[in-house]
Amino acid sequence: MTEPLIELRRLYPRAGIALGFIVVALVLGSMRTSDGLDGPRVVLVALGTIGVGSVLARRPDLPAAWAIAVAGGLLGYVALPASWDSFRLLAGVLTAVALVGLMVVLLPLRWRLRAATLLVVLHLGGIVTAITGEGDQPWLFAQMWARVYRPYLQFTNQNTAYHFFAPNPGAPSELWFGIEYDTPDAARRFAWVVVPKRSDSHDPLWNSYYRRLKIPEYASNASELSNPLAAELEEFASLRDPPERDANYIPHHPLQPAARQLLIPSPATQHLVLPSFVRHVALENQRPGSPIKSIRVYRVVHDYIFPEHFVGAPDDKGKPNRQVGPFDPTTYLPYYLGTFDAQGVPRPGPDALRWWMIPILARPDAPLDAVRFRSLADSDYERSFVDHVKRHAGSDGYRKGP
Amino acid sequence: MPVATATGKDRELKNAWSRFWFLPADPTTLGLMRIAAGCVALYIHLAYSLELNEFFGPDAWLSQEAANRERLEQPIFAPALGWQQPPEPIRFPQLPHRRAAIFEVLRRLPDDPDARITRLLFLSTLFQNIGERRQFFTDYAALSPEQRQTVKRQLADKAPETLIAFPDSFRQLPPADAVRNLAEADALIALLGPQPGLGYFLDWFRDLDTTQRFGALDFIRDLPRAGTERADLLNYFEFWNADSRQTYTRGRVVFSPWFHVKEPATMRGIHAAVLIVLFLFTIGLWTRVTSVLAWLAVMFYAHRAAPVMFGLDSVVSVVMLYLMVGPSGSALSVDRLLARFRAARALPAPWAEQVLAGPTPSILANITLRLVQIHFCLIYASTGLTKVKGATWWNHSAGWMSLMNPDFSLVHHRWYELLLHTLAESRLLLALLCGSVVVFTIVMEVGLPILIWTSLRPIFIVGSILLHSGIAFVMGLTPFGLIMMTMLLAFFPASVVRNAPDWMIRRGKPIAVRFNPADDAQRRRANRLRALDIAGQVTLQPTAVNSMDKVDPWSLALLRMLRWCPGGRWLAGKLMGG
Repeated sequence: MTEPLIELRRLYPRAGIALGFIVVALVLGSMRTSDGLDGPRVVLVALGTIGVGSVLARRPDLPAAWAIAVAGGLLGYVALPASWDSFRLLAGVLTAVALVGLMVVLLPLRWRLRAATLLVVLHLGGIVTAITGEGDQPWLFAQMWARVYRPYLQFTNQNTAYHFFAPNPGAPSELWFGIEYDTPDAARRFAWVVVPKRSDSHDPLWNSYYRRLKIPEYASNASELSNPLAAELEEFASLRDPPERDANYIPHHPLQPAARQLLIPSPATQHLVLPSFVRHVALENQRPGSPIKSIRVYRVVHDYIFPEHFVGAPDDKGKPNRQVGPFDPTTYLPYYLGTFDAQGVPRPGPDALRWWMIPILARPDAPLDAVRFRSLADSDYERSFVDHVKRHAGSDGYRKGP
Repeated sequence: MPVATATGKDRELKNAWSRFWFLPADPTTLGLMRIAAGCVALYIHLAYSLELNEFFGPDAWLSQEAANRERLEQPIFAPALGWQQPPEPIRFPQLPHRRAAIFEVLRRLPDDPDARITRLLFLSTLFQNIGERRQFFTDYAALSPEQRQTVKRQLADKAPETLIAFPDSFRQLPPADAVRNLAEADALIALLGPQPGLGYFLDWFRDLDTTQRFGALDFIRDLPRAGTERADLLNYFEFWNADSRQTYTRGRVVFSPWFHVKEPATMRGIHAAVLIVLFLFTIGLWTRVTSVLAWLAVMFYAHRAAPVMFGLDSVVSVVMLYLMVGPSGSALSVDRLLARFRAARALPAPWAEQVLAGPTPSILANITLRLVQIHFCLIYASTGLTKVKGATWWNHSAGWMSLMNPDFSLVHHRWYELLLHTLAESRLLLALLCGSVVVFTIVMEVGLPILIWTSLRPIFIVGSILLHSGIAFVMGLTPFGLIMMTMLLAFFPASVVRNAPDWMIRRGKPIAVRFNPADDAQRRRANRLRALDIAGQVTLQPTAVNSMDKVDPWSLALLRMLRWCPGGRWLAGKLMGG
């Protein structure tokens, strides 16, 4: 025995008011001069929909309440301004849900349970489809994902395979932005922006730091080690290694395989993601009186170190090796992604080192105890490491980590 | 009898299915999950407050313009339904200047598909002997139109000296054919334009294999006739590297006000409303409505800012979805408290006694709990089985990678780095540590989805808590650990959650309250006390003597929880009717 439910007739006035809000939005939208009324229309529809929802919440057992929700959803869809198209989508989905709810409520209990079974199976099918969505997906699941489940999984943000640190923990990435300002003041001519930095986190559980950790991954998520055409490879090679090499020549990384030293971002990353990131960095790092001249972008793989390198295990002749700490400069593998202006427009024409790895190397006489590298002064850094990124970007100082 | 046995089995299976899904369950566990998930969601969204513009504003990392473009245009492909595969996508150069030059040529193509092929006819002549003819063609293209006319005349007249050197294979052609070829070359030059575009186009065509070359010609011929349509297709291809005719659909099915709102004040207003909704959801006020709004709010952020979303957000989305579907406000909520007050007022109505006795078990609560349980198992199975495929999990180096991950682990702390350094000095010690980490993780993630349905459930619950606590501590993913543990709550029997206030009572005392039922005010206060008595501490004794004023609010389990909250004393006084 439960609390007596509110009578439907007492809900009608509330439903009327809620629908009234949506109708007012509809009327506002039909006015000739509805410019500037988009915001109020959205607010009215939102309030009306919440009102309709509260009516439904009071009597979800009644078909009439579901019918009111269907009507509210349909009216909301029409009343929303076209510029809020994603909310029209939401209104459409809410209407469809209300319609399904109406049909289920009209069924006898036995059939309702069957409907629930069907919905549960459909839902779990979607989750399984999403889970198998990465790697070699079975043909059947690929079809189900593309033709059946994708809208549902995207709408409910469940389109994920849950491959946490699997199949192998991937090396994290960073983005380095080398900003050059147009100023005669040498001390303020250049700045590094490193993403992510722990010091940029604003909450005690570092959540915003972990969010920023995803930003470089988004630029690399869309990356693919593509297969350049032969003429491109020739051009890549001739730009990278010109026949006549001057003092500015930057060598290949001597310890990394050749195939790993060129990484071409996908067109979407080149055209959409990077320009947007650069514009954001430019806006966040403006200096009064010193316009931004250029921004060089590096996507940096922060490689893992092996335990034997960490402890500086001796070689086969018993000679001790340099200890490589987790933030040792040589653990960073930067790929140059191009030079942009403050609007995110890439510098036109061929760019010799674009998409190539720019090495940071230890000098042969670098100190053996690199665990203490974080306390290195600029001069010691210069003595210990050859930082081609710094040279390539035209920076005076190096990036302090972590 | 076999028929009868089969029917019996069918019924057994059907009953098992019904028992699993449709047996009414106590919603108290869902109530606890709501509080836990609400706290995590509230924390996450509070943390956004200082980063609203950076993550969701018009000039966010992924700007509003870019996010909308991605939302509306991202290509979606579907595999072929039959055995016949769609044509392989044409490869275009990746270097921007080469790519742009080729698409410029394609944009200049005539409307008539036959005319396009006519313009490209010379390519077939050229590629019969690309080695010697390419140089000739390049030289010829560099001539002025008048000079090209002269060359044609010289070729027709078989002049011994010409402005440019002709390849031998060309000279051997009958003059009429040679001139016709040069006319085709003129058409191609008109289409390709000057260098370097001309060279880039020829390079591109040369580097394609034979199948791709025919594919490229088909692609060119099949481009739409209408100029606008063709331009749209080419622009789309150049941007997304996808032929829009081969996509199944475009765009993502997502929604968010952050796709539309630009003004900072409006953004702050919406964000404040979201925080209020999440707070109301967490305390369980108007939960049927606020649970839907809370889920929508979580989607608003997750859909807009894909570059800053990670595993935590996926799991929060899942939990909030289930808590929206299930009656998560039916227990441990303000809604429940209000229902108890209404019931106390309605006493001695039979339904009121029922309400005061505890939350009503519901089928929907059971379905929701089962869904959370299965989803949790699927998450574990997916991540565990995928790990088993990874070489680093087999050779245990994944343990080291997790402990030493420079951007996730505690290694930015000096003490942790030195601790690891000390451990790594001993290879055996490190191998034991990393091996333990890996084996424990794999056993948990692969074993839990099956063994948690057996009598080993308590062991796997404890193991899972340890796993997520470890991840939270070492890798810093605390909110992620908390939301996974929230999902794990679905495996706790409702009785454990319901009896949790017992430990509070033990520290308090049973309360015997005397009141005069003939006095309306005393009766109302006594009923209010019953409403507040969620742990069954209070025994009401109708007598002429009144002991209501002697009741210490802090002896009641519910109010004890408010003791340390800001404003808790005031609220407790109000609830007691003081």
